[in-house]
Amino acid sequence: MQETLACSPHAHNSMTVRRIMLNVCLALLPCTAWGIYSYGLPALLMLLTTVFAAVATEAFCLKLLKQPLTRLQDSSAVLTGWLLALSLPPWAPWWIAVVGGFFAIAIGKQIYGGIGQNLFNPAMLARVALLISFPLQMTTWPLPTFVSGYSPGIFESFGIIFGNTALPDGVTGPTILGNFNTEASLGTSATDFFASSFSLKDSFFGTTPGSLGETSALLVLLGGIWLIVSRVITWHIPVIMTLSAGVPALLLSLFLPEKFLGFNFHVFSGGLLFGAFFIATDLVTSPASKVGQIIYAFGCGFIDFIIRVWAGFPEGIGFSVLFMNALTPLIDLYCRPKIYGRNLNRQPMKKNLV
Amino acid sequence: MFSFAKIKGGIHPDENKHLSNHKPIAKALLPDHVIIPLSQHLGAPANPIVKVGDSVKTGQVIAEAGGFVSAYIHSSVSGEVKDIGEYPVPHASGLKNLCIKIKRHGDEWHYLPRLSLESSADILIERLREAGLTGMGGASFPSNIKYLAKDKIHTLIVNAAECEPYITADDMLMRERAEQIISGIKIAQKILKPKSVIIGVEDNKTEAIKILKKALAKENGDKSSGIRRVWPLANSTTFYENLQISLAVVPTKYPTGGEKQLIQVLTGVEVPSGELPSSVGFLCQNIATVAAISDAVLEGMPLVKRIVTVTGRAVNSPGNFEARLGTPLSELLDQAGADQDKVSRLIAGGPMMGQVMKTTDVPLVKGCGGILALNEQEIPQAESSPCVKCGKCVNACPMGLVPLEMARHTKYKDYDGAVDFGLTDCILCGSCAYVCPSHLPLVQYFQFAKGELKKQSDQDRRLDYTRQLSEVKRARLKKEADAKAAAKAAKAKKRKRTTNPA
Ligand code: SF4
Ligand code: SF4
Repeated sequence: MQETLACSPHAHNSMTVRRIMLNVCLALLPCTAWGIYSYGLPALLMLLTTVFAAVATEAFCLKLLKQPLTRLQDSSAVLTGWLLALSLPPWAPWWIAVVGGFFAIAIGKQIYGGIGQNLFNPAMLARVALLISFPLQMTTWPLPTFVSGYSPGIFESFGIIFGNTALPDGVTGPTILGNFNTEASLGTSATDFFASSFSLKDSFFGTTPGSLGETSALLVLLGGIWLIVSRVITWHIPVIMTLSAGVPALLLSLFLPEKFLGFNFHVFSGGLLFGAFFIATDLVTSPASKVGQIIYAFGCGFIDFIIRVWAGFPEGIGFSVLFMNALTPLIDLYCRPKIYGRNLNRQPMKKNLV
Repeated sequence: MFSFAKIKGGIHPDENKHLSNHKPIAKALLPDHVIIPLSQHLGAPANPIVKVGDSVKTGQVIAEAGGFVSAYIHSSVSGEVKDIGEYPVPHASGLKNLCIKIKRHGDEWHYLPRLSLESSADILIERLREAGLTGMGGASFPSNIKYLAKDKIHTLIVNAAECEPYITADDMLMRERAEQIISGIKIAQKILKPKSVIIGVEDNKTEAIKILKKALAKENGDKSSGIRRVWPLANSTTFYENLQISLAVVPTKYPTGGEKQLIQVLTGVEVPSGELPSSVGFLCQNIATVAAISDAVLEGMPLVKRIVTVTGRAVNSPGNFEARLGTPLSELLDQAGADQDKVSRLIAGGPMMGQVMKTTDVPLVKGCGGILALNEQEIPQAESSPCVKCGKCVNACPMGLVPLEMARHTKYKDYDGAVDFGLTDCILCGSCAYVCPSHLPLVQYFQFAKGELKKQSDQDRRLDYTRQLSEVKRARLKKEADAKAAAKAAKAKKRKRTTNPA
């Protein structure tokens, strides 16, 4: 192809991949800052380790594939590592962080041929792989330091992440989703549980245990709104995904309040909002057309709800997103926009004098 | 009667119209020489009818239409034909093309006889042909051909959207020559007898809209009726009953000025894929062409000049010039005070669909409404990187195509795959490339793929043709052989009869 003369258009909205990635990072700042405030220095160490592992793996793969290292500039590896870290338990040991970062980039992305080629969301792929391989470490949830009153110092922090320092008693606790699963199996009714254990305020501001980045619904929303305002994403995926988990929850809890928890519980606790704004909206692995995105978002939200309520895992964002990722090529194939001047079967419209 | 429909996708690039939209139309200085390409229109090139050394007048025919779809070419100055040969022309290929070079001695006009609204439709159409009129919005389709389909046309759409950034030529035309536009529309009405006429203007041209409304109201006998506001677009259509003309103000969005998009936004109708607007009863005409029709009919003035915006940030005093066709762009750039050192890209047309010119020696042609001299900051710099499947191109495409897949298939030379995702319906508007965060040269891919497909179909057609020829030949030989055999048989029979009378 002749590359000599510049081709039209001679204008651009000046968006670049790097800019998109950095915008997402910016949007992650509030909930990250809150996570580090809540879980102290060990959380910061875990975050940095994960990001470092991801970037190092990316550099290594680029080198191996003989691609220019300048590709690193697009910051996508930083973002993947960061997202992964935010979805891990805040005090996950270093090897979880390293294995996760490596897995996300090497298996989740580069094996497929690098940026844009991967089928699955790298961060979620790594998270689910870790959850299946190391269920104990992946479900050890520290309480926020201001709740437990235990805030590890520098040496202790390094010990927790890089060493084998055992945690003192009483500094860990179940997430609220996990808690409900346990209680329900013991026969507690949803109504009682809701009244005794759920506080919308806690979930909203983020004072309950959970993954590093997803505890505060408020700050996740803040970042998410920034993403929409800066036009990195549109409202479709987050809103529809949230509703398609929240609305079934609402309906079921209206009819069977004994067994099911309602809208507020499902939407504001766990990783639903975080997943809806930051995970499911991943450019590469979500469908391209609006209709496709709507179907995809519905699937992500609804499957997450089903997993939470009926499957063995307390949280299902990772699974539901991966499942819909797998369907994305199919969705893209069947949900193409209607072409101007053609009917829905993509045949030219009839000539008729209107 | 009509409903607004939104166009799909589309973008809002920086308009940059403020650079030149306060500058009245200035008459460009007459150039020393003009270079007039013989192919400024869609269809066959014109055939020159002058020789080197002939003296010609302004408005004199120098080349005749070279086929049914073709156009007359007129001299745009009076002087002497210096050369008929290959010169660089404003075309993306950067190739040279046959042109007539005329040295100017003066500006003595040769007019066609004046006609009036009383003339018959056929005479008026013939006048469009004689005057060498072609669409002036970019595609340069010979106008008389469009009007020949007059019996099918129920709606005339006057395209005054001017959605390309930077360009203000049509805007200024409306502000300064509203009466001429209205008389042009009346002529078109006379030819077509359409049920309705809609002028479509983007709402960023407030001044032009005001002036046009005033002129229309005056012609209409100072009463307009049926102002309609359409929710949620907060734009209005004003209907002038005596004139049977509507003025529709549409939201500013690129590419509303595309023929298909404008029809869609004004009427909700989609032109079937692969067909002309006339197949659904529309004739879409650029507003500059409408004004030229008025000149051609009422003044007997062939198409020898046009209004062109010379702008960009490498130009010190951007403006709108009425210039003779064939004027070298260098002269127009000089008059606008272009700073040659600052120019990092020279474009004929607008920034979205315009073509890069390698040299300023190329001439102004009928379809060129803008000359852009952009400085370094104005052109996109980023290098392209792999597609991230973000889908932004899909949502920006006004035609409902899947640009990322079209590009991917083109890359692997699978042009049929690209067609499957919409290549044939692509209007090369560039909206997809404008939003692509990976800065992929999407339009370049599509131009290339379209070229390859054309090559392929040309080849197929040629093969078909040879096959046809050989079939005809075979048929002829067979017929001859049959005839011979028949004759022989007849003879034999005859002989038999003679030798053996029963
Ligand atoms: S250039 Fe073609 S594919 Fe791209 S937006 Fe325009 S019509 Fe769609
Ligand atoms: S806009 Fe560019 S990067 Fe995004 S899907 Fe289209 S071609 Fe790929």
